[in-house]
Amino acid sequence: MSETAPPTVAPDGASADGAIGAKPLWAVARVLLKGAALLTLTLASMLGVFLLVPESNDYARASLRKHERLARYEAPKIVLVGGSNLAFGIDSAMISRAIGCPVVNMGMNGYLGVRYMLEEVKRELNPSDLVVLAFEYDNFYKTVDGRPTDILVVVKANPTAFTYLSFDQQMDVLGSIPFATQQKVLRLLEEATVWAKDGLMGRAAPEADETTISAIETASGFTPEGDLISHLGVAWSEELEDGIIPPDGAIDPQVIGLMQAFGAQMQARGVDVMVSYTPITRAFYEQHAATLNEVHARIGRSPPLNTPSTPEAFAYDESFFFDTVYHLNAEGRELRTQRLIEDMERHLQGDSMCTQTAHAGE
Amino acid sequence: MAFISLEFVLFFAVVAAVYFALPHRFRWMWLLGASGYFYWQLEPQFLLICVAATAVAYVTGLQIEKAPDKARKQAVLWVGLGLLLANFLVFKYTSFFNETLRSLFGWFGVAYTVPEVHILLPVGISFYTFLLVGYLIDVLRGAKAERHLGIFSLFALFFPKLVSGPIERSKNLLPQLHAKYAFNYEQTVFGLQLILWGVFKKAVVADRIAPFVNNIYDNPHAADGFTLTLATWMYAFQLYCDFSGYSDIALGVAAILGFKLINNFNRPYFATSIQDFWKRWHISLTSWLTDYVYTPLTRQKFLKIKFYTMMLLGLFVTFVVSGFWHGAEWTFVIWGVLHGSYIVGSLLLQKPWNNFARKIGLDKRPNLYRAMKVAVTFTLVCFAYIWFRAATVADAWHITTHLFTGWGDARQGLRDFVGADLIGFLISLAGIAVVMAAGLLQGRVDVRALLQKRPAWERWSLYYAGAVSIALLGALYQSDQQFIYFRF
Repeated sequence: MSETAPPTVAPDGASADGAIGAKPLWAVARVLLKGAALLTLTLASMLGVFLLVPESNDYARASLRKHERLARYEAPKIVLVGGSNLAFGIDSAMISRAIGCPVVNMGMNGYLGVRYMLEEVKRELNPSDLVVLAFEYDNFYKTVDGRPTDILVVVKANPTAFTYLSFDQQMDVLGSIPFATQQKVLRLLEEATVWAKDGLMGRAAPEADETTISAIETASGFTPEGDLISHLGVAWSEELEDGIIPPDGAIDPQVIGLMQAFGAQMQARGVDVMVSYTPITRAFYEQHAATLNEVHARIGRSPPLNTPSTPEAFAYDESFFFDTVYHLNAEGRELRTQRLIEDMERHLQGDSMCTQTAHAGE
Repeated sequence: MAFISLEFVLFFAVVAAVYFALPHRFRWMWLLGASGYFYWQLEPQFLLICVAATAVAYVTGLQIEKAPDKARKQAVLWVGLGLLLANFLVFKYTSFFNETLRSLFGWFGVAYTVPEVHILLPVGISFYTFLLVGYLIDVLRGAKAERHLGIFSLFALFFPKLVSGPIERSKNLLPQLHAKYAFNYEQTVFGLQLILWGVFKKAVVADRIAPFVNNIYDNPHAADGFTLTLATWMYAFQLYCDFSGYSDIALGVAAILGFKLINNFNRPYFATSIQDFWKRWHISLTSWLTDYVYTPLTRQKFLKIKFYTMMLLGLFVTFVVSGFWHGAEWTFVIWGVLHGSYIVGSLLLQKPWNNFARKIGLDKRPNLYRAMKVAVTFTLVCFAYIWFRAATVADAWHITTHLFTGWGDARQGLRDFVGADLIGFLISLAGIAVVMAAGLLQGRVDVRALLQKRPAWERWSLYYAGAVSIALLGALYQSDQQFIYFRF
């Protein structure tokens, strides 16, 4: 098509076919209408694919259940705020038993960003609640606004989540629909290719211990408290995925600023806020000790944020981890939860926070 | 502001709307302002350089026309050319010559104390310099100098072709800039069709291929001959779809505004010889080089050489100049030398080859003969692309000398090339098939005329398929692939 010559334009402006200028306004309207029709059809097709093709897993649907639980308990309750380190690495029932309060583990995905993770709990927090913030270290170095495609998946599963976003985030999330749609199409094509290959060449025998992360990250893999347990007991054969700490270790000032503002706002409402840390492998801690301790120091200088423990207190042997330096296995989960309970007790300084039974109302 | 971006869509929508709303006498101002803004968005620091070059060419053109005799006209021309080319050479070649001298001095063990020079290359300088040089030579040859400074500036800065051509000619574009033009439905639809096709070629084909080629060419020493060959072959399609995609968008944008720019491509990979290839590839540059380098060279009277020998020499020099024009790297020069050698070699061998082909009966099987010629031409063009694409001469040499290694395990080579992105690779192949099929069809029928004759639902199905494949398969959302020719 490119090699076709355009119609010639005579110097007086008349085209070779002489159709020029007869009804210019109508001609403009025709082009605009047809252009708009094509654009609408294309966008509608994209939206159709986006809405109708399911995600690779239903992990994001856990957001609905977590919010239901968060709204169900008035106060006092313990709310854990952070990313997947909380989903993979907390035994909420153990905390409930120790502290005597119901626990809502909101942890899902660190890529949702600190702003979203803080905003999504604000409305349901009441005086006497205790909020524990435990963000993956990556979050201290990347945008507080999160990754739009990850937020989009949660918004699709739980449309109310859209209201927790700032205007800029909302625009970014809407703007990520084309990319998310394309990823779905590519995924479908990939599945079709595998299916065709299997059909032609026979299905390859699966490895005995082959478990994909998609099979683990499902809504049904969560307990009512919000802990993911589908990975417990699963042997992960691949190497641990590393965290992302930039070489210069420059902390995004917005992150601690947001945490501090959240702490102050909650304090004014009578909500207690405590900062904890994500679990990490000892090797990861040793590699980034200076940087991680700087995070701790900065939080320590940001009242009313309170951190009973240091990052080192959550550094464990590699054998306690599942698939990443932030995700614990069953043994690691117990160790970390125990440490968190001790921190909470220290933070509460012996105050009996809850009088009700932990699982009341369930 | 990239051609394929929301910013450009909004920019062009505003430009076109206001352009058609304005009376003719104000339109040049609007387009000139828009073109200036477009360049300003790309590289504000170099807009003045572009404006200064335009001013030099404008004044020189008028002075050439005013000069009373040929000698004085030529003298004025040389002054203008000197200024334009000095500007071009300083920006584009200072670092190249400096480093070449450093290497030369180093070979002879002589100290070279001039420090390294890093000069940013203004976007589009190669294109607008050649456009202005061509204009001045045309004026010397008798073309009328443009008196309207605004129109002349628009001729130099017209945004659809400013950054990567086509390298326009004054006799084609200047009269169109003066002409009155009313909105034309057919032409607008044609422009939009071209834009859609150009974006498809760029986003679905070129940018899908790019990561595979980059992966191999960034570290060619890790690849075997099969993978290097595949990467080079894919690069041929990447470059074609990238540059012709850009050209289609440029032509489409201009067509909507009522301008017919020079067509830059005519199915180049269906060429049956290297001469034929250059009549189909970057046509505006080939025609420029023919008119302003090759022709003057063959008509010169200083060297007493037979015309045929001079013609061969002229062709060779012209291709070396083409190589230099593309980039200040020895790899581009060698690419130009290769094409020059191909052309000279093919002319020298033409007669014996034709006799041989006749003897073995190839001329009696025209389709087979043609297919063979297309395949040989494409192979030669791809071989030269190794030098066009490689980052250094050492890389290109390594690739050239390792093309025949590792063919025993082609399956592994294919796996290395594809990596984890099988779908991206399949989309690339499908995109290439669509582009080549369109080219094949265009060789037999006028695709546009054919399209116009089809029922509306068929045309709309095609538009829809194009738009949806761009949106769903194009590497649009997370890639930052500039057009390759932007760097020239």
